[in-house]
Amino acid sequence: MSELQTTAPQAETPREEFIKLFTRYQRRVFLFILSQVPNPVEAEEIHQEANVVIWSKFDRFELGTNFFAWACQIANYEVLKYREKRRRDRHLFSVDFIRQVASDALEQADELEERRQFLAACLGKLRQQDRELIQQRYASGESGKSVAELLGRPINSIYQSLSRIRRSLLECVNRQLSTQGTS
Amino acid sequence: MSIDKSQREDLVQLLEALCEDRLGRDGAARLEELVLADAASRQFYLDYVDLHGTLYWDTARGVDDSGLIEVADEPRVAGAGGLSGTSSRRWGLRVVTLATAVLVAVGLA
Repeated sequence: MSELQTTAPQAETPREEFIKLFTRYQRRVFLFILSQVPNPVEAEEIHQEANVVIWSKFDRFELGTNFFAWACQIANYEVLKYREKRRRDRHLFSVDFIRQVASDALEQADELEERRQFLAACLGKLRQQDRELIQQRYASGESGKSVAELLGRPINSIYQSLSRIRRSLLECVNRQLSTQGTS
Repeated sequence: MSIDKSQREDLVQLLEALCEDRLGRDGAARLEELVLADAASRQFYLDYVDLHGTLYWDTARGVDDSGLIEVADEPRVAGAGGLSGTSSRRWGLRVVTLATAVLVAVGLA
């Protein structure tokens, strides 16, 4: 008998499966939060809080059910809690707005994810100088204002350029989607 | 389901201000009014904010969730390569989040 024996792959433990789901949906949960709190730094803070709660409720999640919907329920609750904790701060949007947008974002989650896949391809189609500007604006973690200072360009000129590029990315994604729909 | 050209232009102006953190109280109220008014405007809002957020998330990381798609394929320009205050904070938050996850995972083991 051969000494080499094939071993069947071991089944993942519930904890391992949970960790995989948790990791896989990080970006989607962050973007779900951002739809309700459009300041990325605030959205990251809420995301962090939501992650702690999601982990702490590990044993309440039923494997095989919709992890994203479950995580979004927690995230939405954390958004409302964050507002409540900072009730003296200026909030851009009302609770009604947040609830409506959260509901739509969850309903359209698959379509939004599809758009994100096309966005990567659309970024590759940008002119090099436009792609560099987007990278500077987002990768540096700063703002249009700081990029304007860095490049020595008037701030309105940077805002116009960023607006033009974001619009063109949006149009590109729309085109890709409609092309896919007709092919 | 679509929005007319003029309303779309209004939305873009407001959303651009939102992306650059220069949307005032009046602008926010107007944006909320437009977005809550109909499903097509909400769709447009979600598409735009999601694009902004994806650029924020992916460009900072250089990869998407799968770790396979390189979004940022050009080197950063001099002066923009170092972590600024905001992005230091951003990465700090992610490190804290990951550390928390590891600690909780150990607790679950």
